[in-house]
Amino acid sequence: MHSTLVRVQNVFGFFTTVAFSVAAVIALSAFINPQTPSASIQLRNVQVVRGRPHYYSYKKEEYAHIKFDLDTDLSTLFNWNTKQVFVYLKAIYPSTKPSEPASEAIIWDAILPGSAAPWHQNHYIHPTPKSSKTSKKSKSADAPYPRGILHLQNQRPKYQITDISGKLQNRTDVQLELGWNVQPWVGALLWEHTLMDVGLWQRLMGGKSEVFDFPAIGAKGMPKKKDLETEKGHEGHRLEAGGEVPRRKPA
Amino acid sequence: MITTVLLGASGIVAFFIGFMAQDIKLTLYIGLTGTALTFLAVVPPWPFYNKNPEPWLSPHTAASGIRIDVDGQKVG
Repeated sequence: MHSTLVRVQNVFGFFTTVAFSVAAVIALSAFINPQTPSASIQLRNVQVVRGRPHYYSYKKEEYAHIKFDLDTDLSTLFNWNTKQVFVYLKAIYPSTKPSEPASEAIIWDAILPGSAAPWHQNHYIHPTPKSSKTSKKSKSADAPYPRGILHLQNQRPKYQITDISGKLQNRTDVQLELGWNVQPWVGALLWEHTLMDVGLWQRLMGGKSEVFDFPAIGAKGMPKKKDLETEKGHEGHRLEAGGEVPRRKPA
Repeated sequence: MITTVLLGASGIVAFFIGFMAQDIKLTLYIGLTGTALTFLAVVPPWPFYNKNPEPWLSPHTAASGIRIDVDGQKVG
C-alpha cells in the first residue's frame, strides 16, 4: 500500500468485486416481485394465398395471413430491472410427419420498453382504440393503456407465414400462442413459462387461442389486396422510400 | 481497509436506495460516486496518513554505534 499504483490496483480490484456482487443481487431481486401475466387471444380471420417469396422468384409458396384479437396484461413483468420485453405471437401447427416436432412461426411482435429505457424508434406504440377517438386529441401522444397492457382489436399480422414445404392450405390444428422474452438491465434473459409457477412468478394464464384450421386457397372468395396488408411502421424503423417517418416522442 | 469499508458500504447503499426508489440508474450513479470517492480518499498520498511516520534506522555510517546482527553475522 505504499505506492500510488498499488493503491489504484487495490481499489479498482475491489470495485470490480463490489460491482459484480451488486449486479448479482439486483438480478436476484427480480424474483421477489410477483408476476401474474395473463393473455387471451382470439382468431379474427385467416386466409391462405399463393405468392412469391420475392419479386424475381419463380417459386410459388402458400402464405397464411392471420388476423387476431389480443388482450394481455404483462404489466407485472416490468420491475426495476426490466429493460424491455419482447412480445410475440406464434402460430403453431403440427408437421406433416408425426415424428417431427410442430412448426412455429411468429406472426406479430412488439418491443415494450421499461420505465428507465431511453426512447428508441423500435419501441412499440400502442394504437389508439377507436372508441376513445372522441376524447381529447391532446391525450393521443400518451399510450392509451399502462405499460405492459395491450388490447388489440382485429390486429393485422406483421408477418405472413409460410411452411418449409411451401404448402399451407388445409393444414389443421393451428393454434396462436403468446410468448415473450424479458430483457433485464443486469441478469439473464427470461422467456415465458407456461407449465408451472416458479416461486412468486405465476405461469401465463391463457395465452393460447382456440385451435383452428388453415382454409383452402380462395375458400372465402378471392381476398382483396387490402385484406392482406401487414402491420408495419409502428416502430418506424423501416425507412423505405415513401415509408412512414419515425414518430418521435414529443419532448 | 478504507477501500473495503467505503466500497462495500457504497455498494450496499446503492442497491438499497435504488431498490427503494425502483430506479436502476440511481443504483449505478450512487455506486460510481462511491467508487470515485474511494479513489479520491485512498489513492493520493494525503498528509494525514503520515501523522505517525515510522522512525527508520539512520543511515549506516562507520561512526554510528548501532550493531546489526543477522544469524550471528555482523552486517551493520
